[in-house]
Amino acid sequence: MELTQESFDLLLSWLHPDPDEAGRIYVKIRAGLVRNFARQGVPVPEELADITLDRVAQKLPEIIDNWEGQPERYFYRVAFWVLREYWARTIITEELNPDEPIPTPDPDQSKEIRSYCFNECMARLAASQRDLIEEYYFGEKGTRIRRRKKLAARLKIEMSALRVKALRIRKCLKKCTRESIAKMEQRDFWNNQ
Amino acid sequence: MNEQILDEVVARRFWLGQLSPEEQGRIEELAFDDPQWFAFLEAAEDDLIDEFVYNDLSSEERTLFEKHFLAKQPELRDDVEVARALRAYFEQEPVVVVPTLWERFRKLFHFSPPLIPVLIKAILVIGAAAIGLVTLIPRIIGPGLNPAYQVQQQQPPALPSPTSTPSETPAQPSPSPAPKDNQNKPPVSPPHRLTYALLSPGLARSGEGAKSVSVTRGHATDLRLLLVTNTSSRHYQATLEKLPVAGPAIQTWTTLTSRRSNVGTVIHVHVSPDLLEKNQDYRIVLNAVAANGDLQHVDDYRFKTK
Repeated sequence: MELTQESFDLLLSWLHPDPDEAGRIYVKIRAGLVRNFARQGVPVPEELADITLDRVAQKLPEIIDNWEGQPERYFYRVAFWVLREYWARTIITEELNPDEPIPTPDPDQSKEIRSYCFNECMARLAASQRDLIEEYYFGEKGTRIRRRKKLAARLKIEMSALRVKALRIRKCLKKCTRESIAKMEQRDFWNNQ
Repeated sequence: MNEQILDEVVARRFWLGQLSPEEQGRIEELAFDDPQWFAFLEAAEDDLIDEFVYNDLSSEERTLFEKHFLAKQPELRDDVEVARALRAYFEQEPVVVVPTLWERFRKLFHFSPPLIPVLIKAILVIGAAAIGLVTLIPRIIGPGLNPAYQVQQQQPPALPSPTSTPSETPAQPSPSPAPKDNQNKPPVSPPHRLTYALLSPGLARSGEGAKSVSVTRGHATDLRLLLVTNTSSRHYQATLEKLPVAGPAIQTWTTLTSRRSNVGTVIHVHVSPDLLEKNQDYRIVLNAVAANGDLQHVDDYRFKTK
């Protein structure tokens, strides 16, 4: 949904009654958003900052009467969800081996496709990444916690750093699996035409 | 803001919608402000998804997970599916490892003591039956015992494991009782030979001292080549070639699995002796088959026939 002049004016008036001051606050908030998106590793921070500003302007009529505190904080809250959406659809795949193409298999059972694609993506991971993810996620709950502590100690990193490492690899797997499934579905679509 | 407002418990409550709007907002601000906290929250989210997939959530958490977490963020269903795939990945059937007979026997005695009396009774019954048969058969068949029924079976000289599953053992011609009327006697089965040869890759590399394998063509003969390897793969592919290599491979086996034995991991290759010539050098090229179907060379195994 595009930002209208009306909603933009409402946004400025919410920031400050004086239009000039409101403009200055708007620019400051946008700069803060850009800085934080960049700090989060987003390659297009300005684009996400603008998406955030648009979304706040659209949501404003719902919250303007009950909002207490600095308006800037609301922008950050919305920005959090914009960032999540962004990472959900844009995941860096550099940890996958580009020389390992995803084959085009022909499993008969569609319900097994996801598992098949996932296994293929696991195979495309660098050996060290695959080892880490296998170690990190293998076993029952209690065993997993113990293994993770040992793994962190072996890698000489904090548990929190280990979690982030595993999280990154898992994101790669998620994206790879999704793409692989899409490719197979596309192929099936054309085969059925 | 610091970790005092965001820890594991708070992160879980955040995703399950158990925080007040004010607390929720503070955590959103914190996570947007600091990439480490953002990652922390996402990791907690993944943990929650894993616990959902592994049925580790309490009933209350499970309800919240379904009603709050999934219902409000339908795109997270993808994450749940990935978690399921991850679980399935770890629950796949491992590489086939056949325990040795001795291991099975020991396991039986160690872990199932109540079975011991049953086992002893079974042995006694089988023993009595065997004695009865030995006593009765000569009387039924008489002195003209046909030598063709004396099965000549060469025991495996280099069997690395005293084990084989029943299905791996080739069907042996069973000595059925001969009818008294020799004229109606069924066609005589030829003697059956079973030869095992243990091949290690060391011999292949040097090319010297390659294992000699006795080949008797024209008989019902089974030749099992046992390739010793220190690799571990779900599937292997083996190709039989005549040396020096001049022409296509003689035969390729595509879905071989490894078995554990007392000499290490072994891959059984069942070769028909009809494929082999006497006094000839051969080699088996062994490849590991990756999950995506790619082949990775493992080793070569040379042997000669006599």
